[in-house]
Amino acid sequence: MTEARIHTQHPGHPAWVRITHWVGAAAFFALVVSGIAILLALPRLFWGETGSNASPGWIVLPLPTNTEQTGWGRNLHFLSAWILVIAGAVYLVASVFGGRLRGRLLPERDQLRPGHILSEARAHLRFGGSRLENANDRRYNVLQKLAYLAVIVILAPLMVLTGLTMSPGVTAAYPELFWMFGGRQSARTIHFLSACVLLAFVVVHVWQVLANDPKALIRGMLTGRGDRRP
Amino acid sequence: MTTSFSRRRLLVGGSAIGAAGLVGGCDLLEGGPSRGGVYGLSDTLTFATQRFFVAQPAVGATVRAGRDLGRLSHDQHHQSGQFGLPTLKSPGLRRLALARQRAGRAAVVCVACRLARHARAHPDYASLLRAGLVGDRRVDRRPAVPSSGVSRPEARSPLHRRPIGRWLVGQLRSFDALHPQTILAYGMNGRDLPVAHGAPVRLRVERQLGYKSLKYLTSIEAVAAVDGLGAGRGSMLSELGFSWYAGI
Repeated sequence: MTEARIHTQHPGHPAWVRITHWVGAAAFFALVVSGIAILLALPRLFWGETGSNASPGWIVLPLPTNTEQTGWGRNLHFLSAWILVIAGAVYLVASVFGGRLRGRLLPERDQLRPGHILSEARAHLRFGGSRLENANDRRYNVLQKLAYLAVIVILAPLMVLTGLTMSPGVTAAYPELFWMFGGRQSARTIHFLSACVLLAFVVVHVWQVLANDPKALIRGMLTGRGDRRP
Repeated sequence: MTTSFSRRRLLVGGSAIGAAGLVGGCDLLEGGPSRGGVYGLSDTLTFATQRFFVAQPAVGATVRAGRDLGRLSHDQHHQSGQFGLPTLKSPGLRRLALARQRAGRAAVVCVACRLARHARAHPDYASLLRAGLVGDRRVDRRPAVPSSGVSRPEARSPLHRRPIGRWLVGQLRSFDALHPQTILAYGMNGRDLPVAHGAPVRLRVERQLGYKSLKYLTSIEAVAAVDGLGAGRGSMLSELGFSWYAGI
């Protein structure tokens, strides 16, 4: 019964998804802005344990050095990080125990066939989308599901852990974090690269919304009425 | 005591973050440096969480701290010498620093032992004890940092911005000053501390950002309040918005 419902009608988003989505989106935007402000104090990245203005960088970003922005940047970064962590924890707990992770995000068996994944990838590379195959299939397509899962299961925890590794107070108590990432500077570099991947996800995510019935999709995430193309 | 304090702070911070309408100042400790506004809330939450997870070990319990430091010292570049040597006989903190300055021998002393003795002598001080660490910038002979465009140490940069007179002042809470991982170093890697690393004596606060590890110490004082220092937050970088405990 639920199977048929999922396949024929877009079930819409419950309130906790919509709230954590928009709170998280705002916090992520603040994190990107403040993260750049912090990055400007030392716009070069290192691999290993040490790094400084004078030492050669692993990645030297073409950004101006500006040490005046790190104060407000750090304050905003921590404030928005707390908001995102709390919203993310609510989302994670609710989606794991509420069945949303299994029902909406985990790819189903037919979606995991290599042939299906390949055809989806081909369709997306031709900018054809995946709706051509079956117009009544209202599930997230497999690439979409994998992208969401990568953000939730891999990138978000990675951001939190590499962020914690940059805190001297945390690493003094849990030096295992250094072992995990190969040093504070490696953690900083991974933090930056993961942020770039997350930003790329957001760009593609917004692009996909704009390319696929943006009015209905945005209304669905705002009001919960998710019935697309009535 | 510390744990219950931390739990309480965690609850305060957590509920404060939850209450969106509540944008008042949050005293991190009664009579301590406070910070208003919405950043005060996240600051309190960060601080409380750190205290909750990074519980203060008993003073003198250097086993875990020593293990941690051993882990941190993978190569010579990261070693800061031996850890937690027996206490010296000097009675006061100021005299200790001056004695080390004169002696300049290669060894490391544990500030925790000094401050613990001080706290025992002044039991009513214990909750408000802070160490004010004053560095003399005249002996700062660090080379200029080329990539940030700073040509002289006196030039405008956050680390050197508006020192109080010719002094740089740092503040530590008793929690951090008493921690076994907080050390005064006058030697490094089996030799005298080089000038570039803050000779004759420097502070090393493993658990906070580097700017809290003042070099070229001239005196240490236990004070009851940080009023008048660094926008009342006892930090030379609070002008930039950093909180008194460095905020990380």
